[in-house]
Amino acid sequence: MNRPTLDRQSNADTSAPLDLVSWRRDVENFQNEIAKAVVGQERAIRLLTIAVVARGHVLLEGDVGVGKTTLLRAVARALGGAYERIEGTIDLMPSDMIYHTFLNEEGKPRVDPGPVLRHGSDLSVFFFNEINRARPQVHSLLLRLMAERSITAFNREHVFPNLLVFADRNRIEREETFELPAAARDRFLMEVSISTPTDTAARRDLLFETKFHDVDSLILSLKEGVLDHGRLNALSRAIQNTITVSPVLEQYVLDIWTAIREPANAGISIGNVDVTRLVAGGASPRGMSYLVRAARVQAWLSGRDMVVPEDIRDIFQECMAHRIFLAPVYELRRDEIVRSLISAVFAKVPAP
Amino acid sequence: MRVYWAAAWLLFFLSPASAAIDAVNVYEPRNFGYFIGDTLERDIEVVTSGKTELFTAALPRPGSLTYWLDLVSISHTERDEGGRRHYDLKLKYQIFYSAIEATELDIPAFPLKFKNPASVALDGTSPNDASDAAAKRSASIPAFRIIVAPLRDLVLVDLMPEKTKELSEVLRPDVPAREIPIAGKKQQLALAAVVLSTATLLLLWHYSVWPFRKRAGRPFTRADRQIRDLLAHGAGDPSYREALLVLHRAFDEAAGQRIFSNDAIAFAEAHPVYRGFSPRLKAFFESSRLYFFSDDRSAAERLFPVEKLRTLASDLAREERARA
Repeated sequence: MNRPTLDRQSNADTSAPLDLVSWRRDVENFQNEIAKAVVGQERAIRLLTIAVVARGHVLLEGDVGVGKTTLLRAVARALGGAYERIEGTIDLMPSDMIYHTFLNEEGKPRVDPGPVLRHGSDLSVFFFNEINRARPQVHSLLLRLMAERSITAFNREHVFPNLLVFADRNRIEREETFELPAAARDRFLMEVSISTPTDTAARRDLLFETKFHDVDSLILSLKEGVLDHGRLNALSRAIQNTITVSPVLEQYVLDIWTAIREPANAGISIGNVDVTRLVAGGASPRGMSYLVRAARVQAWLSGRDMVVPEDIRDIFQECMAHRIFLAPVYELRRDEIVRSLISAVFAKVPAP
Repeated sequence: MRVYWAAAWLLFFLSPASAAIDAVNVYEPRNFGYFIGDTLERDIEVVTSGKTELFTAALPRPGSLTYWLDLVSISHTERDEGGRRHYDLKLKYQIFYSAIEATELDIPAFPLKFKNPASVALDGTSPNDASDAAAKRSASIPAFRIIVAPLRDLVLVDLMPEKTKELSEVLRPDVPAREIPIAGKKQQLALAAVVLSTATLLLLWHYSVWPFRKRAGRPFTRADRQIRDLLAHGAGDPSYREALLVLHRAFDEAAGQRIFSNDAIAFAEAHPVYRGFSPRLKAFFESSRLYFFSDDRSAAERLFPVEKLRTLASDLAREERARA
């Protein structure tokens, strides 16, 4: 089977030209399918779709029991392909992801491939639950898996060309958790925050509609493989090559970037914050290139052949907020400050 | 200034039935400052009572009185007032005296003649004393002394060749000019200036011209002016681009944040003044988006030509000013 990979262009799929219009229809069906299982999270579904098409990893965070896992399972189901999940615990070791050892029925020791390797290169979704409960060793393995979509085990390199890593974490408790290192966070295309639906009808459905009570059967009721996950890499490349980013927009993104990194020079002020020493770092070039990648997908999903500033603005919070590192004194108020910083930057930087 | 000069006053303690010359009042003109050829008028009022009447036929006739004085005209009118008869005489003289120095001359007196001047009171009583009685029977116009002066150059050049005096010593000083009160006018002028400058400033403010060029709250007015300036310099692609940018900045300023195409309708909803502009705003933002973010610039100029851009800017500016 001829499968494209992101990093190894040699075996890219060029067999059939992509029809972007019919693909857009498919992607819309994909969103609708997920929406059957997850109500009141239209924006999260949209963002996850963008991430899937842009081939980016996603970290979900939010309250307990708001449907993070359900959402990711629904996405994995609709996407098709091999799916694996692992629960983050404090004693999870990197080796637990790669293999597990046990005594078989005959009493002989056996080494079987772990969750990452079990499906070979067909693995399309790797779901890491409660990622902040795992140790930094695990994070660093994950870092390689996300960055290179490959892993070295049993003396050879395993490549997962279609792999997407979805992770979630809750922000409620901090005991026995390990904050993700900046390098790992930077490798997530998006960090999507999931909150309880505010719409009354959605809330009523969630509480009293019986189909939402049994998550397993709910997920099973979804159509499997709405998208041809094997060709998503080609689709992503086609979109990146088709959608126009004009020089004006390039300048706009650069201006936004500068303003985020040096808010004081851009004349931005935030209440009770010394903006001259607010931003300690971050907003990496990789992050910005991810942003542009996602913006192209957003434009394509909106039926446009050009990226406009609205695209950047729509997805900026999710694509960039987790990459901006603040001075320690402001870390505790992080959410609020980063939110106002981003809205101030968009209110300040002119476009076109 | 007329001199009031009473020739005689008669007392009225006699019975009202008696006939008498009650008064001859002479109103003289000034008595100085006459030159050759000047005229002067004397007004005389004669009051009689009872049967006494002025014999007007005996008044002097116009003509030469002396070698230097003509009586140019004489007129008289009569009226009854308070049971007495009043005669108003007006005598006009002209002087022909060529003075070589300031000279005093007398206009001669002349007697007035009366009918029944000496009529006696009906009750037969006689006047108290003789002089009083005489005054009641006759009257005359007294002489009038005037000062006739030479014409100036005659004095200075011909007659005072070795003059030792300055002209200012010879002549009376000029009458000081009467001061015209202008304090009120000055106040009015100051008030008008204040009103004018206030109105000018308000007008400049309204149009946000020079000192208020940067006035907040008039972004469209400013944009309109900038766009007109830009397009006056030629309507090529650079100025079209510049005009689009100017209008974008005006929208940003009006909204207090950056306004993108997707925000256009929300902007119109949030600012009721511009609600009527919704379709045009949408068209503007759509074409601007095409211009800046797609490869197809000509399509943008076709969709929203420069003329439409100019009209939109000026309409927005007008609405903005109308709101204020």
